[in-house]
Amino acid sequence: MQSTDRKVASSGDRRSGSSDQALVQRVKQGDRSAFDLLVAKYQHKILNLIMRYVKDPSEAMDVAQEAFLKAYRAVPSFRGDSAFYTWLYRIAINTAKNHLVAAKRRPASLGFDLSDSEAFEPFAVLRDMDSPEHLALTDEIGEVINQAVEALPVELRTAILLREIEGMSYEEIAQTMECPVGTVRSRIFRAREAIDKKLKPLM
Amino acid sequence: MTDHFDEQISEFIDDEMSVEESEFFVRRLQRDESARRQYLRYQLIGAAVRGEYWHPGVSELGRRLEQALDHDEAQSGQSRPRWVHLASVSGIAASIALVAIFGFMALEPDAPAAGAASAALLEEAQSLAPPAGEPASTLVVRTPDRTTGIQYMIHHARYSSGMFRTIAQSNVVAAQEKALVADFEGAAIE
Repeated sequence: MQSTDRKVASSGDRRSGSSDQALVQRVKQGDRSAFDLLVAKYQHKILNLIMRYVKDPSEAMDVAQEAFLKAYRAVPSFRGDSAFYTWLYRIAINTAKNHLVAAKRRPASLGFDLSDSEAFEPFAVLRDMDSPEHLALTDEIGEVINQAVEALPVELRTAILLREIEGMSYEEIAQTMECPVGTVRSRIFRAREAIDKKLKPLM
Repeated sequence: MTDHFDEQISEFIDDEMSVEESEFFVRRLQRDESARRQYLRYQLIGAAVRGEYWHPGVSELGRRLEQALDHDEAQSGQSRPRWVHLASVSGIAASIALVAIFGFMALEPDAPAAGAASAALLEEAQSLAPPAGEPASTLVVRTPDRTTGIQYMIHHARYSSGMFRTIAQSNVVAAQEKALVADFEGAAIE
C-alpha cells in the first residue's frame, strides 16, 4: 500500500492536464461549449467541495454556479501557472467562504482534513433533501455503476480503479500491473464501455 | 463513432494525450453530439467510481450556467469587450464636441472660418461682377447662402435650446448680411 501512496503522489506531479489545457484554450477563444465540458468534468468535485462549507444542496448549487461563472469570466487571465483544477478549486473555496460571510454564518464543522474524501458522504447529505424521483434515480445510477464495476473482469476492474480512485497515469498502472501501456489504455476503455452499456438506458 | 474514437474519449478524459492531440480532439468532440454525450457519461462513471457522484440534478447546473452566461453577454452588449464600448461612447462624444466647435466657429463673424466664408463669397461676387463701365444695377446677384442659411436656422431652431437658437440665429443673420453687403460693395467698386 505504501508503494501505491508513493505512486499517487508522483502521479499528481506528473499529470500534464493536457485535456484541460486544450479546453481552456478553446474557452479563451470564446468557445462556450468547451467550458461546458470543463463544467461536466469538475461539477461533481466542486459541488462536493462546496458542500463541505454550505450544507444546503440548493445553496450549494447557487455557490457552484457563482464559482463557475467567476471562473469563466476570469479564464482570459488564467495563465496556466497552476493546474486548471487547482485554480478552479481556489475560486470555489473563496466563493463558498464569501457566501458564508454574506450569510453571516459560520462554516459547517470542518473537523476533518479536506483531502479526506471518506469523511464526506454526499449521498447521505442529499438523501433527505431531494425529490423522491431524483433520489431514486441517484440511487439507481449509483447502484448500476457499482454493480457494473463489480461485474468487470479483474484486469479491467483493477485498471479502472487504479485510474479513477488512485489517480495513476497509464504508465504507472502499466508498471503496477506489469503490462504494456497500450494494454492499460485498452483495459480502461473496455471497462468504461462495459459500465456505459449499463448506464446508457438510464440517461 | 468508431471504437477508436471512443477509446480516444477515454484517453482524453485521462489526460493521456499530448496538448496538440487534445486540441485536435476537442475540435472533433465539439462537432459530434453523440461523442459529447459519451464524454459526459464517462465523466459520470468516473465521479460515481470515486464516490463523488452528486445526483442527476447536477445537470441543472449546466443549464443554469448557460442562462447566466447568456444574460451576462446580453448585458455587456453582445460580448463586446469593455474597451470597444468605451471607445464607441468616446467617439460619439468627440464627434459631438467637434461639430459644436466648428459650428460656433462658422457662426462667429470674427472667427477664421467666417473669414474663409467671406472670401468665398467675395470670389463669387467678383466672378459675377459686370465688365468695367457697365452699370451695377444690371447685376444679378445670387444670394443662396444668405436665404438658405437663415431658412435652415429658422426651420431647425425648434430643435435647439433657447439660448443657442438666439445667439446662433442672430449671428448667422448678422454675419451673412454684413459679409454679403460688404463683399458685394467691394466687388461693385472694383
